[in-house]
Amino acid sequence: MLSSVFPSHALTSRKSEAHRKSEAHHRPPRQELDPQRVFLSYSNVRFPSDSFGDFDVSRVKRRKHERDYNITVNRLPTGRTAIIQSHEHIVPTMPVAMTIPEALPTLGTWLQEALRQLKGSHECATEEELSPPSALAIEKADKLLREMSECVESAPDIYPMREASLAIDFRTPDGRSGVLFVIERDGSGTLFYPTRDSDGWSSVADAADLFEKRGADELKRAGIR
Amino acid sequence: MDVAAGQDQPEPIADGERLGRHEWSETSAKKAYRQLKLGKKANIRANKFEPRTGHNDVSVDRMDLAADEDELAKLAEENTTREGKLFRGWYTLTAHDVAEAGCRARPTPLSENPYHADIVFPVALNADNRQNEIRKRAIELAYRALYVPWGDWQDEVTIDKSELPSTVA
Repeated sequence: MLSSVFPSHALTSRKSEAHRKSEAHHRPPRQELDPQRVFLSYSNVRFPSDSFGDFDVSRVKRRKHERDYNITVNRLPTGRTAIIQSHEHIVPTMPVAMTIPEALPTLGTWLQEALRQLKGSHECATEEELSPPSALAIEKADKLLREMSECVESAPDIYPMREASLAIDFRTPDGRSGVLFVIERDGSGTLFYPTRDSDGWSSVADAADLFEKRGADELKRAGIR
Repeated sequence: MDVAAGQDQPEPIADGERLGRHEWSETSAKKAYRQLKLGKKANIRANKFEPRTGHNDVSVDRMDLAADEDELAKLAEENTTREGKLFRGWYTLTAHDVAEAGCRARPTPLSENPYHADIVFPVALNADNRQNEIRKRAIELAYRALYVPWGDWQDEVTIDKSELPSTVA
């Protein structure tokens, strides 16, 4: 268990059952996170390196602002209390103890930016002198992005391609390779992946199936997490 | 192709010769330049190398043939201004990169640009799965391309100190 300091002003995120039920009605769809893998977001905090004790913390990633972190905690028994030690002088009002809920209404770390790009794809197509993506392609891309944001850590780039299609473009860390999902105008999809043994692409009738049918494996194979 | 008479260009394009594709999109240029400022390789979008529908080539400049980039940029600015756009740099790659992506480079000098060349996609117009074969090559070209920014707009891209990579204490 964690060794921790509890400042007298510590707040907790424990919520009443009624509050939790009420909140559930306002959650966007597709929030079924794995209860053994919980995403936490903190703002304006610093964590000493030994803060996480015996919890299996797979990811501590700094976000845009200097003291914002996204943390993925693995294999937490439901309801167990995780105590995050923080520096009092930096975060006098931030939670230092919280109960990990079964699922947090938190989107993937890159999903909001990806959806913003998706929303701006019409404008982007105009700038690039391309036909704007079809409504069906946007709908399928939205679904695919929500699914992938729960499994893939790396952020994709979203942009229009020719023939009113959309690209969801994941790159390897060195940027010299990647896996690219194309959502076609008619809602079908094609996955492009690095290979020397085959065509390097594979198509499906419904682009929403791209990740499940082959995308997840190819991302893993390319070293994109 | 409108090849200017009397042009004297080496044939074929040398393996190590750099070829540059024009960028004029503000969004894409700033995104790529931002990555450069963060010390990363700019991730070039695959749509930059997609030929127009029904075509098998995309235009590039032969970067190493001109006296310097100023000369090429001046020509590029004249062309893009005529089309009501602002020239924002090149996506460059070598002829070797082009071959590795399954394409070939062909010199096609124009009266308004003697350094003009084409990257040719060897996919028949009636080929099965033509669109995917074209895209596969465009994606490979994008992976290999580097961004060379051009213009006064670069100061508009600012990086906050907090965006620079660092580790957790």
